[in-house]
Amino acid sequence: MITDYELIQQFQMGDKSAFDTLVKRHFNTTYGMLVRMVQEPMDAEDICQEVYIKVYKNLEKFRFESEFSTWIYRISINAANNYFRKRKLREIIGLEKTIKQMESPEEKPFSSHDPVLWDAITKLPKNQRTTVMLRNFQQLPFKEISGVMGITENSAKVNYHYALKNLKKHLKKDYE
Amino acid sequence: MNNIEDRLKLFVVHSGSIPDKDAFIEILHNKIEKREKYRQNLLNSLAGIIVLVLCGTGLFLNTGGIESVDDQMDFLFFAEYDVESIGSGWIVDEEFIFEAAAYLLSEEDLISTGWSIVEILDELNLINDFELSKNGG
Repeated sequence: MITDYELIQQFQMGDKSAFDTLVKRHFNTTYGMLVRMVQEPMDAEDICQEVYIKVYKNLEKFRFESEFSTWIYRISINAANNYFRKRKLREIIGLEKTIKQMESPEEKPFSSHDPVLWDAITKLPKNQRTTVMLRNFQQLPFKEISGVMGITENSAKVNYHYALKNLKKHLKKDYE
Repeated sequence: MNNIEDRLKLFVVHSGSIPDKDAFIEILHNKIEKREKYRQNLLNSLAGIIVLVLCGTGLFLNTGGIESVDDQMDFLFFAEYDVESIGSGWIVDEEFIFEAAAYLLSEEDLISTGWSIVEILDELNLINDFELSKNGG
């Protein structure tokens, strides 16, 4: 089977169809991760589109210094963090409530298994939230998490440790 | 901590269907194309604006700014068509007065038009001018 690197090389040599093969190959992972991260399938699909538009624009400049999947993870994490930032902003100005009120139950086929936990995760600082998500939702080892986030492996472990501590603090009631 | 980790492991999403890959790719290509067109239009517009600003600046600097309309000939040209100027003797001549009088006299109501001739001539201050011109003015 043709590797990701070979497909990227084909794309860089002008074969734009190689991009479609790459999307097909990584779509499930990217979408799956995003839907777990943002808990909204429609939003996850939109973010996924943004991720692959970014990939398309920057694939010419890909320097083969990391795995393609790690690169996609990194772009996805940044896109998801942007989403959370916008969401927080909407919450501050009170738009989020209005949007939630407008959504009917039929329009929301996904629902979180544990909304309290989800709420606590979204309130974590950016690096802690990302570590928790990559570690638990994607089952990534700390080494890969460090590669995706551009931090050391130890730093990833520390972030994860504090994330768990903070989650426990947020969910104090449940453990009393 | 372990409780939290266990809870995180159990944290799943009741997933619906995963979107169709081909449809996703189609939408993706449309978006890429749209954005590329938008970017191109934006660049063209920006280039156009820059060219216009440069041309405008160049023209302004070469002509020395906006000139005031104080040329006597231009003023006369516009004054020629000024209605107010009829009474001030600009285009008053015998022919004009005779023609005006003939027009007014041709009206049906001779008595009322007779007075209106006098009124108009008086209003335009033409009687004196006419007298002056007849006396060699």
